Order: sequence, then structure tokens, then C-alpha cells
Amino acid sequence: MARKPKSTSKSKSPGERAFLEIRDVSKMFGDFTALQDVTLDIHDGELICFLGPSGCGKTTLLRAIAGLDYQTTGRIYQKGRDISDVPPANRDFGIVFQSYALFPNLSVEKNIAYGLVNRKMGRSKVKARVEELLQLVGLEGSEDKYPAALSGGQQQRVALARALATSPGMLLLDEPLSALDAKVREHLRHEMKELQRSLGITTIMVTHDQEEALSMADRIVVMSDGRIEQVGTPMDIYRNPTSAYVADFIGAMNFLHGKVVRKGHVKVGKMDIAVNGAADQFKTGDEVVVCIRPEDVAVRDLAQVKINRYAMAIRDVEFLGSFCRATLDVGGKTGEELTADFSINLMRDFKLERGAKLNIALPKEQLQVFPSNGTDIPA
Amino acid sequence: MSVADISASEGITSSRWARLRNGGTESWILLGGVSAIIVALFAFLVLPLYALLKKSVEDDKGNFVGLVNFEEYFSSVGLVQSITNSLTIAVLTMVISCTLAFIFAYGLTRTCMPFKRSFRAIATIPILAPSLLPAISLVYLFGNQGIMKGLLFGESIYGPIGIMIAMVFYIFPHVMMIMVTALSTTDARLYEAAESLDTKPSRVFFTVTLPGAIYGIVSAAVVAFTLTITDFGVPKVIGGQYNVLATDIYKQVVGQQNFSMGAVVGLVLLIPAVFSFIIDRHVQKKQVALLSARAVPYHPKPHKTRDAALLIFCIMMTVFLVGILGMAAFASFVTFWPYDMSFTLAHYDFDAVDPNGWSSFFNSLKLAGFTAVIGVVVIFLGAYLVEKGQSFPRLRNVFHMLAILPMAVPGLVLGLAYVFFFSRPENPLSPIYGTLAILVVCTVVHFYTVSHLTMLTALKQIDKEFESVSASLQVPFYKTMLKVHVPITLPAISDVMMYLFVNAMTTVSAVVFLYSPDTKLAAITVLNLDDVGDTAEAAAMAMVIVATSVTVRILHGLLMRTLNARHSEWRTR
Ligand SMILES: Nc1ncnc2c1ncn2[C@@H]1O[C@H](COP(=O)(O)OP(=O)(O)OP(=O)(O)O)[C@@H](O)[C@H]1O
Ligand SMILES: [Mg+2]
Repeated sequence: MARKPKSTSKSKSPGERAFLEIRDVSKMFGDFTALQDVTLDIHDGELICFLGPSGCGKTTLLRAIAGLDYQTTGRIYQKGRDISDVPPANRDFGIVFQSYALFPNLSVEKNIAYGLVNRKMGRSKVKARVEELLQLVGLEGSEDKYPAALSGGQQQRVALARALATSPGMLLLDEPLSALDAKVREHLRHEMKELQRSLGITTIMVTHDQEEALSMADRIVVMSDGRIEQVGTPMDIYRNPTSAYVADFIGAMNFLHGKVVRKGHVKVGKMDIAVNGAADQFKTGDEVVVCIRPEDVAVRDLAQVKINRYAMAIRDVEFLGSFCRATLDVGGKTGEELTADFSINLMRDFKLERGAKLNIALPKEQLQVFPSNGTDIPA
Repeated sequence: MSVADISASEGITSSRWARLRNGGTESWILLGGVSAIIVALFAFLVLPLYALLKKSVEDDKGNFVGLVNFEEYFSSVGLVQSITNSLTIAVLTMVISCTLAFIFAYGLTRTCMPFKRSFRAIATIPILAPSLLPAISLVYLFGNQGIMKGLLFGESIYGPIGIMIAMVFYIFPHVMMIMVTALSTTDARLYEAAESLDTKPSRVFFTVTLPGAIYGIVSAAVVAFTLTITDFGVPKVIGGQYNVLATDIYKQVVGQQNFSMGAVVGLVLLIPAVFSFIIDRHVQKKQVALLSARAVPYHPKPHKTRDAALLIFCIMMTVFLVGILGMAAFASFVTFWPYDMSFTLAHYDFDAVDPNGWSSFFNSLKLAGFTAVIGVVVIFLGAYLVEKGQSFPRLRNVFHMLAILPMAVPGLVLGLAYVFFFSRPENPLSPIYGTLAILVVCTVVHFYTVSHLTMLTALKQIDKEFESVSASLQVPFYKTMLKVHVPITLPAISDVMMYLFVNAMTTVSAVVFLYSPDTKLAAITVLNLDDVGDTAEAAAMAMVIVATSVTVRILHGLLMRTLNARHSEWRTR
């Protein structure tokens, strides 16, 4: 019953309604606001990740979408139908929980068939469907085992098969991989993405693991404190964070605190950094942070580079396997640091080591500037 | 404006309506279930208690007289003396039983003495007997013809001494089990630390052992106090002229037909019970906090003198417990204690001495069976709704509070409250008065709390997302409850059934006001036989009760074993 692969359309033609529309959804627990005016469109066939730190409301939003905990205010539409007050049993989704919630007293077969049996499907049809699903998740022959006899990864697959059994229109996953160890997790990440793509099922996945979100999602929803910070493709979120919060949350990032000295120029310590367009919104004298990712700090081919070129000393080098992360002394009294990722190759070519001096450049097009009054900016 | 119009407009109340309506059958079943169980607890607990309260401020004709009954009560020297007597007995029994139980539990948990399991099993036997049994045994041992009468140095067993000894027997298992739990939940690292600092053993005991077990000890003391002050069977049989609150209620109501005064004494008895209840609840919460800390279990190391001393103590305690039980058994089989010691089964011919005879035993079986089956269904559903119901949080909270309440109400008080409430002909429920049904209801309510908490604990261990999964697969919650929750909690269900069965077999206090000639129970027959001097027959009937309880306990054990074997693939215990 597997669906035909669909192209994961990330944009919709104008006028057409999104698969799932979330409008101004808020959720209160007593006086505590767990979700605040969340508005979001989820498109047909995409895998979307809710990403954010613990307690930011990811699960709450997922449960509101499922109808397991109703939102306090706001509406939710699935394929144009208002499902805001519809109980979960009358919505159309499958769900996998962090704990998997497999019924321990039922065999794998009965777990997977749990939702099918209730639909008065013929016995042989149920059996065939279960077999098909087991094949889909790569667990052929485990029908008669009990969940307790399965490894964590296998349990996760059974839970996935059970959620997919009734061919729901939407798949909800709440931290589906977080209970697994790193190796298995990486493997399953890939597998699940493949499966999702081949089934073309609209999927919402909650995670606080940015690597997971970046590697799997078609789009990421970054959340903090019950609000949506930014929505975009992984590349988009990574390359063009719209706030210092997102910049900090996704990937490693340098935050250089400085002041706008004239249009397009920020002074950080002794450095005068040309930032161009990125800082046009700021006036002279504004306190800002200049952001650059460690891997964007340039070292090679600096001969022609005229701007944002500085000499720095390596304060410390941390070996991280395939590359090294160096801490550079920006100089000046502030004692600001800059971290830069250098490949092993580069380390060798330039004889970089602790205490060595080198020239680096901060490529203008890789810089981002945010106001520094935000509380969420690391010092 | 129809419901649909209202729900179409935005707003929280209208959404709630829409959700209830959209939820279909499931929502209504949930709402209906919670409401029904709350109504039932109101009808069978709250309203009867209110009737009792009302009775205490009325005269015999039902006119409101204010506190006149209370004035009368407190101006009667005899009645007030009972308060002192009850408190004295309760406090002394509490101290004695807690001390003995602590040492016993210490032996079971903190030494390397042999036979620990057997000691523990034997120490729980008294639970299977009605409280009348130890009192009857004591009459045989220390009564006017008692073989060990000399040990009392002229004191009479009929009175405070007898009450206390019998009570210690009767409440020992309850107190001992709490002590064992308290002493088991300790952190070995504390002892290692003390040892590494070269602390004297006595100092370790007072600085580590006692403080660690303190909540358990308080809890055990409170339980001992409440059980003693509210028990009716022991003082009835062996109290002699020594009046206590429990026997006063009985005398006022059954003897003098003075219902208002009975209500007043009932309320007086309710005070210490409620007080103990509050202390216990408070202490239990703290105990839980201690438990959840990450502790390394303690494993005792052999220590010759200590182990030997505690072994001797435990043997003596076992001799005491088995001796009392054995005395009743022996007396039931000999022709005429202590003069004709030939074996006979004549005392088991109950039909010869009591108009109800064996039929009271079958009544008890019926009561116990119905209580166990109906009780476990209601208790399971109630606990399920509290723990797993996803809507109506406020209603569920109300219910949970009501479910805890029975623990604070002594059986005598509950029984009396039922008399006042159900005997009134204008009460639509009055037809059940005098039937087996009211006995079943009363017994279920009487033992509701412990069962409810047991069930709740079992259900809490089940993944709370099962309901969500079930809803997402469009399987109604009640199907999942039957297919998943019931099988998983089968051990707890079986525990609760056994608890209800055994208690229904042995209880006297609540039902003593409620039975009718047709529904007389075995334990009541024990009471009556003893009252008219047929002590050997009373002992025999008590033994029949014990034998039944033991059988049920064994069946329970076998059932658990089969369950564990059959479910070994998924049940990890
Ligand atoms: N039933 C509840 N009652 C009160 N507060 C709640 C309840 N459920 C969640 N919260 C609060 O709402 C906030 C958001 O919770 P939520 O579970 O959505 O977080 P999350 O983003 O999923 O976090 P995590 O990564 O830890 O799972 C938290 O601060 C949490 O304490
Ligand atoms: Mg969560």
C-alpha cells in the first residue's frame, strides 16, 4: 500500500491552501504560556522539524496538532478542514513517541496490527499488511517477538511501522531517535528520511538535536520560549539566520561585540571590520555583534585580499578529528577571541600550532550583524 | 441558538462543548464514568457520614437539639472514661508493637540470620484471621481455666492486658511490613561513610539507621494507633469491664438503642482516626521523596552476636504468633479444654449451636466473592479514570480526593453512618438495607483507599502515551484499557482482589450494624458464639475463616506464578 513517491514540493501555487495551517495557536498551562501565537504552514509531503532547546514548546505544539492536548486559542486546518476541536481519533495522523509506547504484552505483529484490527479488515489482509510494513522497516521475521526482546532501534522501527500501518495522512514524531545511542541514531536518521521520501508522507518531527534537523528536514522551524524564531530550509537557516538566537543555536558561531563607527564599518577591539549591506540598518554608534562561522575564517590566498585582513596569534588549538578548532587572539584590551576551523591540511601547510602567528581574513559576504541588546547573545 | 451555533463562535467554553461533542461516545463514556463514580462515592460515603453528623445533633425523634447530646456525653463519667481507656490502650499498644516490629524488621533487613523468608511469611499470618481470634486464644491461655494463668500474677486477662496482647498479635503484620519497607530503603553509602569514620555501632544506629527509617516508623506508629483505637472485636471479646470507645458505640446502638449517643461516640472516634490519617498522608509524601533518591542498596555483613540475638528474638516472636493461632486451632479440636483433651470435630457442627450455623460462613464467602469481584472492577475503573483519563481534570481530582477519604473513617463509624442513612424509608436506596448488597457496598467502601492506591501505583508504571497512541490509531480508549492495561496490571488486580476477599472474610466492625438474620456473616457468628459462651465453637468458626483466607492466599500465589511463567516473554519482574 506504499504510496507513489511524490516530489517534495516546498512551495505551493498561490491560492492553494497548505496541507496543514496553524493559525495564532497559543497554549496556556495555568499562567504559564507554553505556546504564543504560533502561525505556520506545513506543505504536503514535506518533512518539517521543530527544533529548539528543552522546554521551548515543541512537544506542546505537536500535541496540539495531534489533538492530544488542545490549544487554548487559535485554529488548525488540515487540508482546509478546521480540526481545532476535533479529537485525535477523528484526525488523520500516525505518531511515534520518544518512549515508542509499544504495548509490552502484545507481539510485534499485534502491535503493528493494532489499528488495523479495529477497522474490520480481513485477517489475511491484516497479516499481509503487517508483513509489508515489517519489510518496509527492515524487520522481516520478527512478528512473534515481544517488544522487550527487541533492541532500542528495532523497537523504534516497530513503533514507526505501527504508526504507518493505517496509511495516515500525516506522521508525527516526537524525538523519535533520542533514546538511541549515537551510531544507531545516525543510521536510522538516514533510513527514516529515505522511507519518508519514498512514501511522500507529510511528516513533523520534533527534535532538540540540530544535526538531526539539519540532515533530515526539508524545512526547519526554530523555536524558543513558545514562539517561532525562524522557518526555512536547513541551508537557509544555517547560512542566513535572522536573529542572533538562531545563529547561536544552529552550528558554531563567533560573536564579536563592537560598535558601528561609520556606515558599513564595525569596530571590534582594534579591528575595523567592513560589513557592508549586513549593517545598513544600524546607525553610527549602535552596539552590534558581528557573526561569522568558524569554518568561514579564511587563511589561504590572502595575497589579493585588502579588507578585513588581520594578523592574529593562535592561543589554543583543539583537535576534533577531521579538523582543528583554533582559538585566535583578536588583540586589544577586551580579550575577545575568534574561533576558526582549520583542516588538517591547512594546519600542516601553514605550520600552525599554539603561539604561531598568522594572517586571517573575515570574508565580507560571510558576515552577519545583529543588534547586541538582545539578552540571548552570548558574551 | 443551537449548540452548533455556539461552538462555531470562538471562545473557550464553546470549544469545550465542541470537543465534547466531537469526541463522540468516548468522551461521554469518560464523563459518564467519572460522574457515576463520584455520585456513587457521594451516596455511599459522604451522605452517610453527613447523616451520622446530623444524627449527633438530633434527639431520638429526629428533632434538632444542638449540642445537647454532646453535653450529655461529656457529663457522663463512664463514657468519658472510655476516651482515656482507648487512648491508653492505643498508645501502649503502639509503643509495644512498634518496638517489637522494628526489632523483627531489623532482623529481616539488616542481619544475616537464617530463615528470613519463613519468619516474614509467618509474621503475616494474623492478617488472615479476624481480630476476634487472638482474643479467644488468650481466653484459653490466660482465662479462668487458662493453662498459663499463673504468668499474670493474679491480674485478669479480661481488661487492658488482654486487649493489648491480642492487639499486638493482630496489628503486628501491618506494622512489621511498614517497618521492613522503611528499613529496606536505605543508602549503603551512608553506612560506608560512617564505617570509614570509625563510628561506634550504637552511634551509627542513632545517627544513620533511625533517621533513615523515621518516616516509616512514624507511619507504622500511626497505623498501629488507628488500628487499635478503632478495632472492635478484641475489646468486645476480652475487654471485660474495661470500656473503650469502640465497645461504647456498640453498646449505645445495639444494647441501648440510643442512636444519637452512638453517633456522638462515633464522631469522637472519628477524631483520632482523621488525625492519624492526616499525619500518615503527610509522612508518606516525605517517604516517597526519600525513596526516589538514588541509593545504593544495603547488604548486611555477618556479625555473630547480632545475628544470633535477632534470630532468638524472631524465634520468640514467631512462637508468640504461632502459639496464639495454634491455641485457637487446638481448642477448636478438643472436646472440653482443659479437662477433656480428646480429639473431636463436634465444635465445627455450627448448625447445632447457632441458628445460622454454617450458612453464615457461606454468606461470608458470598460477601467476600462479590466484594472482590465488584470491588476490583470499580476500583480498577476508578483508578484508570484518575490516572489515564485525559479530560475533565477537575472532576478527576474531586474523585481522587473522595477515594482517599475512606481510609480516615473507622469501620464502626462507617457502619453506623450506613444505618442512619439507609434505614430511613424515604431514602430511595433504602431497599438495599438489610440485604447482602449493603454489606458488599460497605465493605468495598471501607477498604477502598488501599486498593485504589495499589491500583494507581500499578497504572502509573504504564507508559502514559498508550492512550495517545490508541487515539491516533482510532482505537477507543476502553478497548486499549482491556487489551493492554488490564493484562499488564493483572498482578495488582489479583493483589487487590485478595486484599478485598480476605478483609471481607475477617471484618467485623463495619458490618456488625448492618447484617440481618439472612445475611449473618461468619465473623459475626464468632462474635455471637463467644458472647453466649460457646467459645470452642467460636474458635472453630474463626479457624474456618483463617483456613479460607489461607486457601485464597495460596491460590493467589499459584495464580501469580502461572501468570509470571505464561507471560515471561514480556513480563519483566
Ligand atoms: N501539562 C503541563 N502542565 C504545565 N506545564 C507544562 C505541561 N506540559 C508542558 N508544560 C511546560 O510547557 C513548556 C513546554 O513544554 P514542551 O514539553 O512542549 O517542551 P519541549 O520543547 O518539548 O521540551 P523537551 O525538549 O524537553 O521535550 C515547558 O516549560 C513545560 O514545563
Ligand atoms: Mg518534548
